Parts: sequence; C-alpha cells; structure tokens
Amino acid sequence: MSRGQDLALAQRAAEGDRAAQRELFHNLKNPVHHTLFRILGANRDIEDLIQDAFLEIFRALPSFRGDSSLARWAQTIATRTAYLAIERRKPPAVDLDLVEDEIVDRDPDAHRVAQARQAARRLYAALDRIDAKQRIAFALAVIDGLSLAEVAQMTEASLVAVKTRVWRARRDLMKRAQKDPVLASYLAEFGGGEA
Amino acid sequence: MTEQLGRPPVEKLSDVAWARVERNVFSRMAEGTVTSAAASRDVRRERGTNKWLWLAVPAAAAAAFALAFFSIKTPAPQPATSGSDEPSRIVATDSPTRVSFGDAHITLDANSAVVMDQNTAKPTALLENGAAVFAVAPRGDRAPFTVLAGDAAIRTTNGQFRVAREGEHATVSVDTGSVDIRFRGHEIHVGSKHTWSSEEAQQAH
Repeated sequence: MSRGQDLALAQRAAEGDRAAQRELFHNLKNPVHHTLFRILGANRDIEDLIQDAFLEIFRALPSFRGDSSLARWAQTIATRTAYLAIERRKPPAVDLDLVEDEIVDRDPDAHRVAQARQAARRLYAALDRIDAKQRIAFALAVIDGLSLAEVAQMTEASLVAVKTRVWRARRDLMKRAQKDPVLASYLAEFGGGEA
Repeated sequence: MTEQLGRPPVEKLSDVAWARVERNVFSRMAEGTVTSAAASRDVRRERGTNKWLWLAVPAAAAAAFALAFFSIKTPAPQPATSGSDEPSRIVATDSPTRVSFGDAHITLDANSAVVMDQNTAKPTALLENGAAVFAVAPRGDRAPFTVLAGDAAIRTTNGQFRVAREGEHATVSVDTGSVDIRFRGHEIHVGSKHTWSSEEAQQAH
C-alpha cells in the first residue's frame, strides 16, 4: 500500500467511516501483533494489549501525516503499548528459565522445535529482568532483526540511545548466560544487531 | 546445542481470538471510548472561543428538533434483520438455534457459536465452534456468502451446506448447490452430496 493510500485510509477512518476503520484494523492487525509478540515473547495477555494498541491507534489517527507507512506508525504505538505493559508488570516471582520442557518426542523436528521454544523461553525470562527500554531495543534490533534506525523510529529515541540500549541489554544477558549454557548458545546465534 | 535454532517464531492468534479482539475493539469504541473523530471534534471545540457558546446551545437544540421531526416524517427503511454493521455473535447453548441474516438462514447445532459480519457487501460468518447448516439463497451478482472455519474459507452463491468445526479442523458437507473452499492456498470445488474435510486435505498435501 502506498503512502498516499495509507493517508487516505487513515483520514477516512479518522472521520468515522466504519468500513475504513475495519479495513485499517485488518491491514494493521498482523504488524501490531508481530511487534507485541517480539517484545513480549508470548501470546499471554496479548489480546488485551492488541485492543489497547488499536484504541490508541484510532485515537491518534488524526495525527498520522504519512511520514512513515501506516504499518510502521502503528508498530510505534504497539511498541509504546508494550512498554507500558512491561512497566506495569510485577517482576516474576519464579525464574521461568528453570522450568524445562520434557522432550519425549523422538521426531528430530519436534525435538528441534521444543529446543527452540525452550531457548526462546529462557531468553525472554532473562529479558524480563532487564530494563524495559533495553529489552525493547534488544527484542526489535536483535531478535526481530530490524535496523537500529528503524528501532529508533519505533521507540521514538535517538540512534545513539538505541545503540547504547542494545549494547547494555546484550551485556546484561551475557552476564546471566554465564550460568546457563542453553541461553549462552542461543544468544551466540544472534550475532546481528551488535551496537 | 550445535544446530542453529533460529529466531523464535511469532505464534499466530487463532481466528476466534482475532474475532474476539475485533469485536472488543469496535464495541469499546462504540461504548464511548473517545474515537478519533470525536477527539478531533473535542480539539476543535477547545480551540474555539466560549463567546459562541450562547449561540451554539440554541442551534444544537434546533438541529436536534429538526432531526427528530424529519426522522418521524420520513422513517428510514428497516432491514429485515439487524441493521448494525457490528459483527453479531450467536451462541446456541443446549438446543439448536435458527437465525436469518438477509436471505441466508443458519441453523446452529447445540453448543455452537457463530460470529456474523455483514459490514461490507461480503457477508461472512465465522464458525467459532460446533456445527451449523447454512442455507444461502441465490445471490445473483452479489458477492458470495463466506463461512470461515479454522483455515478454511467456504464460499457459495447458492446452496445449502453443513460446516462442522473441531479445533482447527473443519468438515463441509454440501446438501444442495455447491461451494468453493479455499484451504492453505488450494481451491477446492465441492458439489452437491459431497463432503470435504480439512484433515483429509492436510494428509493429501
């Protein structure tokens, strides 16, 4: 969808055109969900957060100027929604990385999927314990593979701030991974996004 | 761990979850959570000066009176069924339920639920769970009637068929007419007295 089409759709939706609002919802639901999932690491509570993000998107539509794509603009709002959710959360009482999946399936694919799931769970459990802004920068730049400039745009921060956050997040995670070879090995996969 | 595990996959939300999210977003907007249009009206109002308030109140009253007067004089034609463009959710509890949407008639089995969206010219029913019989009158040039069940989209312009859903699996039995099913990039035509199942289709692919 071109910027012009984005802008026209946003304007119609902002004026209360219900069909345009529905179209906008369907166009943006996947990018919004993708961003929230990448930052939070699971679909737990995500339905409520998607709703919050969309209400904010509809509220903010009159301010959309078409400087970026509508999807990227919506992802910026989703990132803000995720940030507020992380800030509201209490720190986990139990280290989720201590809870392991029992891998009983002999199928190598199933085994690999279970291993990946376990590694991702450990990664996000470690992310739960670091600063929210660092977590978001790391999740978007390193796990999702976005450029630092894109992350800067989505987090409404400077490029330098994003670089610093990613670097600090990586340092904290590596420290935690010293006692966790699964996490250490998984982190080593994410060589990209080095600040 | 020697092999690369790759990025953690983004786990998809089910159709049912998306339908719930959509319904909640639009109902929360309708409930009076400030919509963007209302918000921009508020901003414009705040920017205005209060000196016009004494004119605005009687003008609004006159407008309301005129609106009420013309509403009484020229009543809008009422659709046969719900005219709202909000999706409607119909749930059958311990006995079957019949419901009509325009010229499509749906008989829901007990313990089944369907979400109907007639917002656009493309009426769509999402079978959340259970089973239902859909009887669709000839639609002529109008868009087909679509039923979503799991990953299957069942379209017809004329026919009666039953769709049963169990988790993400769907079974379609066509009684009269025919349907076109889109399932994971494949198009399948199912004629009268034939049955299609997503489980078998999955195994075949």
